[in-house]
Amino acid sequence: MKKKITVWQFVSQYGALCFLIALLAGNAVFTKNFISINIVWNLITQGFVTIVVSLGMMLVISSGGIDLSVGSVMPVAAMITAKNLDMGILPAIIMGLIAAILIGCFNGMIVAVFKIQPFIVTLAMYMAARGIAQLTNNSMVYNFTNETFNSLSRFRIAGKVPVQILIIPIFLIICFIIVKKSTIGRYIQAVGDNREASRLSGVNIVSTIIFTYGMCSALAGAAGIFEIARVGASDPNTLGLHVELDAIAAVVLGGTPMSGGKINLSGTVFAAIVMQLIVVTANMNNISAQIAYIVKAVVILVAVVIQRRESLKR
Amino acid sequence: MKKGSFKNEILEFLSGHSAAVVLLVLVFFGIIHFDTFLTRNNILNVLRQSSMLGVMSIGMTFVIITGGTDLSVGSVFALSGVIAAMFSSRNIFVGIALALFISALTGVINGVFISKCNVPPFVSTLCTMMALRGVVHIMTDERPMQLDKEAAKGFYNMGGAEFLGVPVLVWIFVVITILACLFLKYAKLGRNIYAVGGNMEAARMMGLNVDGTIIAAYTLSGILSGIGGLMMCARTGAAYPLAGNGWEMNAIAAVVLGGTAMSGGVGTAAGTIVGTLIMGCISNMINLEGSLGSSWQYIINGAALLLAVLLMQFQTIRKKYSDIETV
Amino acid sequence: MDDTKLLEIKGLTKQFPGVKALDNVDFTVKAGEVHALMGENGAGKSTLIKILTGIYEKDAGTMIFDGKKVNFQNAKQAQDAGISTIYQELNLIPQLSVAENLYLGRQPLTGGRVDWKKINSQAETFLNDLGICIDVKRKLNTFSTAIQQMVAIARGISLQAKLMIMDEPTSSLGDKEVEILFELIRKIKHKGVATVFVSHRLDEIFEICDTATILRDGKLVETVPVESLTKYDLITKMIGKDAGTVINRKNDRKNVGNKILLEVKDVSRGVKVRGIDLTIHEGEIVGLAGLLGSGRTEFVRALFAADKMESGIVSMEGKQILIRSPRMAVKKGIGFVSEDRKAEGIIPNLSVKENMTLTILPKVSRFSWINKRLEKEKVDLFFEKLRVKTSGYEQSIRNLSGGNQQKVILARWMATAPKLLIMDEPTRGIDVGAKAEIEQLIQEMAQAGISILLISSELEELIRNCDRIAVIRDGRKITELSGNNMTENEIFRVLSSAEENENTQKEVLG
Repeated sequence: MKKKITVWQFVSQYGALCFLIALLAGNAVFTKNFISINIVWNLITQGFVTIVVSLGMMLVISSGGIDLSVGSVMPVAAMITAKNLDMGILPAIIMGLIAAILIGCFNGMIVAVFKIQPFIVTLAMYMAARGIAQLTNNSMVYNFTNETFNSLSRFRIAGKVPVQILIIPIFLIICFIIVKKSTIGRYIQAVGDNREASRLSGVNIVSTIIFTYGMCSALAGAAGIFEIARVGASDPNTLGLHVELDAIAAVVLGGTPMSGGKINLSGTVFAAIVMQLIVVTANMNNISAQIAYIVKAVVILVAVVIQRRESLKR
Repeated sequence: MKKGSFKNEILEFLSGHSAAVVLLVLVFFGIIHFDTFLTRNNILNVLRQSSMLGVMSIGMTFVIITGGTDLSVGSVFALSGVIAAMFSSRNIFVGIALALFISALTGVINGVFISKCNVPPFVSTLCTMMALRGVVHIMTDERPMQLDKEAAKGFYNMGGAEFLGVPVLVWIFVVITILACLFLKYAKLGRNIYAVGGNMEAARMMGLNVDGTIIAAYTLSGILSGIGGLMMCARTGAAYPLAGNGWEMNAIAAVVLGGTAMSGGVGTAAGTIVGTLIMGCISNMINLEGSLGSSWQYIINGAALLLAVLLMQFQTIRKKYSDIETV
Repeated sequence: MDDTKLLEIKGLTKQFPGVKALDNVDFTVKAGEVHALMGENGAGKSTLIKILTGIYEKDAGTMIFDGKKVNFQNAKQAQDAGISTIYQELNLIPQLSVAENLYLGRQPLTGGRVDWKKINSQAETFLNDLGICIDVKRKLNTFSTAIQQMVAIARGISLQAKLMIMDEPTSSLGDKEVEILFELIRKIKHKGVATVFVSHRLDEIFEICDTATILRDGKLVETVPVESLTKYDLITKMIGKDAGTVINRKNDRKNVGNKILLEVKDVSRGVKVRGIDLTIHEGEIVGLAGLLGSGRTEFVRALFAADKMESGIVSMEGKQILIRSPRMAVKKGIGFVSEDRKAEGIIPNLSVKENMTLTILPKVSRFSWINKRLEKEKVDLFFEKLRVKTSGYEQSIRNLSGGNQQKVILARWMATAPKLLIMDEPTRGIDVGAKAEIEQLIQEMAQAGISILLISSELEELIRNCDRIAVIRDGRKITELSGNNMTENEIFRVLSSAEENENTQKEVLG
């Protein structure tokens, strides 16, 4: 059977990239001073958190679930790391990540073993984890000075290039390996695409799901740690607020089906960049950030409508 | 034999009304632990705080019974207050009408996207939530918008007034709840909401207007959130850009705690009140405790929600494996 | 019984890509008649029903219902015209009460309010009238499937249905519940409502139906009054082509092992599997023959732990084992090709390669890192052996033909080098060429020492390929046939006499 590619199909596969190019082009023409290297640096440093968290969310959505707690996992990991910096940067980071992973595995266990809907489980964790984060410092901002730690996010190569340009690819590679090269990546997508067929093929559904949520939280935790390194302080009240929205938007816009299944890794990354680019575009054209927010909403909605039309046709 | 079946009956009643039981336990605990819990002042406080979330949660109940979710309620809440404040100096009634109209319109938009365009409820309401929140920020210029307390004197007074010793806001909550209960039980549309949530395909086959029902559910949710926003504006005398922020999660929690399953087809407005009051009591007790702080609020809410769904899950599993009666 | 023709279908034809589902079929139902619609899978029964109720569009033919020419565009239209269909998946709302389900959409109102008193009392009266005495205020899902089905039927009647179509209504019912259902059918028959009874349970057909229409391979075999038939007749018409022809056996393998691989005793699960014993030797091909709904699929699913086995002892290579999940079964060397390829076989949006290697990923990877070269080798090996036609390994499996999809799934299991491969209708919905190839593969696997447990609704296929055939009926194994006994005639005989024996038992035990 010959594969016919319709416009809709193309859009849902490469839509994010097309949109990104269109937006870049539009900006290049209409926005003053757009083509400057600073824009790229800007995108990278400020889009860092969104990109990393989106990667984790992508895994969870691919498995057929969702994780609303990522925005609260960030401050938990961040606070634990921040408060233990005197033990050494690496041990502190490891402790923070472990906390994040534990939360994720807990989520995964409730979803897989007790079969509770991911929406509700992670909603509960969204609330509880935020409270836990706040508790670690009595809801107060925690300031710290640790040059080495800060340099993780603040360092500029040759004084100009933000270090994130090296870090993001590391995360991308990790995800790429998981999705394309590892057995678990196959299992995640198989489970999300057809859970019963996967079960009957002998796939370990429970461990796959626990891994997925654990990995998602780990990535969120890492994003939180890098963020406080950049800022120099950890605010348990606002760190990670609304990040789940951007992440889900990036995954959906990027072409990974909300019902689960085949991962579109590049799509997610491009879409995360698009989300950030919308904000930058607004900034540079003196459009209020709020309008950017509204535009994001419209873009997501349109993208999903198109996606649904395409999937219904099959 | 009789003793055993009595015990079973009690267990049945308890598990069927677990939310109410939890609330009673909480209240009992509150009375014992805090001297000031049972004072008129405190009770009114709890009720007043719960009334706005409660109205929003009632709207959310309709949506969840259909098997969906409405994440836009917080933003509608805020926008409604802003519109009222905006029009307060000219004509508060126009403001109120417009606020409710926009709230309803949001619901209609959500309902149409969800039923006709097949967009998942989560995505559609997420987008309307984002869009409206942006509008709110723009309209308020990121600052609280004051209500013209002179021109809209009646409106503002209503926010603080009491009727028969009970705050008007609480009365509004009570009246809306009663109406919701009646609606769900006695209106054809109300019954349709249950049918659509229980088995959408079957409901379609039975000739019910499924799309219309879904649109109606989201519209009601929007309107009720709008009413909540008006209540908030009347009470505080201003419209805040961050009003209702995060309230959608609390509303969902209140509904689920009250015994409505997210899978749809079951649930009651009365249960939602119980859920709202549970959250209100927890919040109140944490305040009274003083030393705990609001962080514990989040933790307890989260834990309570999780426990509630786990309990409901065990109930369902138990029911599946128990003997199904044959004639 | 009225002699007026309620439904008259003439020359109905429906073509799907690759298969003619219905070929010039005539079907007539009289008012007040209970009309059985019979035939094995693929015979065309469900296609006929779906065209009649507006789910499919016919290619040719005429349909006259209640004196008017009809061509329903959707299910609702058929319902409004007076045709009510009762499927296995209930078209009612389980969370609502029985009474409400009856009146949903047309609740009696008093002063604009839904009048619950009226709903409940009217419902109770209506159901009592039909012989159903239950508490109508209770939620529908607190009742058994049988009662739920009857409420569905009752709703149809209350909607003035003239024709009731019941699709396998008794398949999950116990004996007592079947009797209640039949009482209801008799009652509505009295009221002039006609019933189309799709089933393959012979004793039930004989008990309740007046007429039987038998379809086979999309064509009409015959429409006869039930009383003029014997069970043997019925079976042969449904599944036998020509009971006399000799079937060319394929199994000339020499090394059908004598070592016992798997021995199961007294396997039970619900009403569908009622204590089946089976022994499978190494390198043996064992077939399970029986009519639709006999419990064969449920039995093998219980073996594979796809569903929980309620009782039974399983021993593999002499040792008793407990298989708790499909994962464990795979570890023990058992594979399972499900009969529902679309829902339980293929992972639709994944590639052909990914689908095939799903079961053997640990074999082609180290510390979870997939060795692409090794993977490709495996795919090369099996795809060549099975002659899978695909434009590339990365192609999405949903773009392949049914036959090729099945081959990929087969490859998936062959690659695990199983000791036992369970195959449930492996050649269903596949073109003739691929069918032959798959049968050949079955032989080759057995030759290589793999045991096969084969379910098929085509007797010839079973006889051609198997060393032994177990005949299953109503969840029980009636007998096993091998050697010269393995003939269609014998299978028919066993199946029809089994009915007799059970009826006698019923009479004796009362």
